Amino acid sequence: MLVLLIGDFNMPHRSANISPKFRKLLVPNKMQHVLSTGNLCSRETFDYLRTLSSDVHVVKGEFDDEMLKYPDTKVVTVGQFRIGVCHGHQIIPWGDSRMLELLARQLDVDILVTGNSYECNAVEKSGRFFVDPGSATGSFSVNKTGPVTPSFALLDVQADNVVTYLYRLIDDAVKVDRIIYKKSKST
Amino acid sequence: MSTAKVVPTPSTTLSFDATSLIKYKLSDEVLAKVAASGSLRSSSCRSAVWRLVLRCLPYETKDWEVTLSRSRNLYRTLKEKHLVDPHDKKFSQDPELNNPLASTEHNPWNTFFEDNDLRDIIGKDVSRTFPEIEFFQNGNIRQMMSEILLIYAKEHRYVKYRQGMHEILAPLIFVIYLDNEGFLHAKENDELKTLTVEEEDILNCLFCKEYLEQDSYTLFCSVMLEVSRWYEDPAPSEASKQLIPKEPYMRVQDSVPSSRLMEDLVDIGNLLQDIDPTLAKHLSSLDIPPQLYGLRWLRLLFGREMPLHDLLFLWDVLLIDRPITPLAKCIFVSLLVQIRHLLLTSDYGGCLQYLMRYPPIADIDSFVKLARHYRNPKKNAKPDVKLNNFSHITVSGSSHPNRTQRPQRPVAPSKARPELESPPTILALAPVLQKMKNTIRDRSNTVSVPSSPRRSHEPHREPIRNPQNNDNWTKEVQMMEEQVSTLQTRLNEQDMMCCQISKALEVCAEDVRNAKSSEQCAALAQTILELSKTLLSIKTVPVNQSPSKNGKNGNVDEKQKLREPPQIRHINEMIDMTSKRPQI
Repeated sequence: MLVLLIGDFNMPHRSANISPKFRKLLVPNKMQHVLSTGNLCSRETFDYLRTLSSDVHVVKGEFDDEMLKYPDTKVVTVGQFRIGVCHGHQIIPWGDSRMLELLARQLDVDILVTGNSYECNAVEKSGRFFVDPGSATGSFSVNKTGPVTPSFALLDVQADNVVTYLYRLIDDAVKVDRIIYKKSKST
Repeated sequence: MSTAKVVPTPSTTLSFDATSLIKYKLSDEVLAKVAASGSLRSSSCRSAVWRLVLRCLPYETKDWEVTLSRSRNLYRTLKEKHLVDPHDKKFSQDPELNNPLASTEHNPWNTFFEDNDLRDIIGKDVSRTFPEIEFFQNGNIRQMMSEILLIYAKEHRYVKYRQGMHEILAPLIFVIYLDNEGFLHAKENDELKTLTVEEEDILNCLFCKEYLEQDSYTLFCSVMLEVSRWYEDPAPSEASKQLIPKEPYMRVQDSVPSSRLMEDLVDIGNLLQDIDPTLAKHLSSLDIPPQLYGLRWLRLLFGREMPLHDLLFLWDVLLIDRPITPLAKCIFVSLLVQIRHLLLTSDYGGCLQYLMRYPPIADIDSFVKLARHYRNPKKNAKPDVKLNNFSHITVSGSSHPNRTQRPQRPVAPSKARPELESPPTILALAPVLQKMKNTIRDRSNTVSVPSSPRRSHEPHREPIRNPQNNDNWTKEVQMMEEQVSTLQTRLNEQDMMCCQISKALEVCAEDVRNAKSSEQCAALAQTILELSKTLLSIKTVPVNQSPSKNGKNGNVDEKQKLREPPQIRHINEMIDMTSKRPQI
């Protein structure tokens, strides 16, 4: 079961489009679910995600239209795993690992997906897995100096483990990293 | 016990079970006899016989273990080869090359996604396999079927997967599964005592539960060798296309047969012309060629035209007569001849309904005899063709659309008389029925005579009813036919019940013989009493009375639906008349 994690597009406000390199990778009929950390900022972006999979979940980013009524957090169960999604601008201080752990416990999820840091990473902490897909377009961020690397993440959910593929666009070439998270027996 | 009956060759009457596989010297001729006699129907080694006749197993029993392990290993390697798991360690673990989205060559995910489409199609079909049988609702069985079909499709690229194959596979898995269970059961009951250890080992290996999937695949492949010709794509032969351009308004039977399936269907049309010219003329005048409905009949090997237990018997006979095409054609024609009385009295829509939803065959034995007669008229005598179909229901048991939707025309009753399905058991009812029919006809002729004083109290009804009377009689005849059919099923049930009770009685008798203490005897006596009570409760509805009783009930229901209360009285009066008639 493949789950695409993608967010912080900021289209069309800060970026015009997703890189064609990424567009080539993101094709329909591959992933079963799409989880977006928000900041889609336009209807067209949502429609694009809908072309990738019929099952799209979006949470609210700070620049998303209030009228769209995206929820602040959302929990999706895929296979054996509970996956929580939140944009992250609500978590203060921003990107604080202890506050993220708190949220993960509150939602009672195995995997917590947040955005807002504009940096792609995936770490395991105290039995839970934290993924940040970064910004799909690499649009600039107020809390980051220097250029932002466009990135997204893909979860391959299997029976007892999740393989996370991190796709980064560095020097106009896609780099892929793989991180494996195994669900501990106790949880 | 079969052990007492061990003889060099099996006589066709004795039961054919696992021990006979080992003890007898088997050959195609012997098995053909066994299959035709129908003794495989109750045996627990049908799958083994199928495998023997399809050459999945050699006749030499000593070679079975080798052959089986070879075919099972083959399936395992095929499974490894075709069911690609991208997480497998054998693939490169470099995430740049091995990740779900990479479009590079040699990415195991590419084949994985390709298979997924096929898997979806197969999964959809598999989930619709025999919805009425619980065995196929099991998730494991479905998974197994999907994998077998996927591997078959990938291994036989020229055939691929086509809709319908799942219906071929399903009975095969079912039969192998049943036989494995039956063998275990026989083992528990110590029915294999006569076998030596080596012989038992061979059977253990043959009926091994763990290899259900592997064995099903092997058997499926050999059956598909026979059937795949009907699944092939039409060969795009450029030459024929150029010679005969497709004309507008061309009918399907006029075009040049483009595949072997179509060729066979044309052959079937010609065969029908030879065997039953009247029917062939009727169908061709209605513009219903075999190409219209026969696709499914042949591709599923008649799997949707009869209930599963009858189908398995048909396959017994069919699979041993290889290549199966000639016999399949004969079966096809017999199916048509069986319902010729229905077809000849139906119009275009009615015929199509009968062909698309074939009325179930009541007596499969005589049907198979008929098919074998057409296959080889000199060897096999033509059986008495009785009217042999339940024309009012479909295979799935719901009422046939021809019966519910199309009221019969007034002329129909006299012609449609023989439509009443009449397997042997119904003969007891025939006189009663005949009487009832006579009454109806008499009454319809003398309808102007008011037969009930109560009717005169409703003068406003008379003028409305009179012109419709003829129609009403037709309706009643129709209703009676329905009643007869329900009675028929009831009779069949009773027959079955009686059979079961007689078996139970036999067991009891055996126990009595072996009983030592008087307590046991008393307990057995109690059992026998209970059995006799059950028997009585069945028989409390004597055959001759049942029609009238049921007639009332059935009609009350029907009438309440129609909201025409006066007609209930008619039926009652009519029944009265039937009983009084002889006195007058």
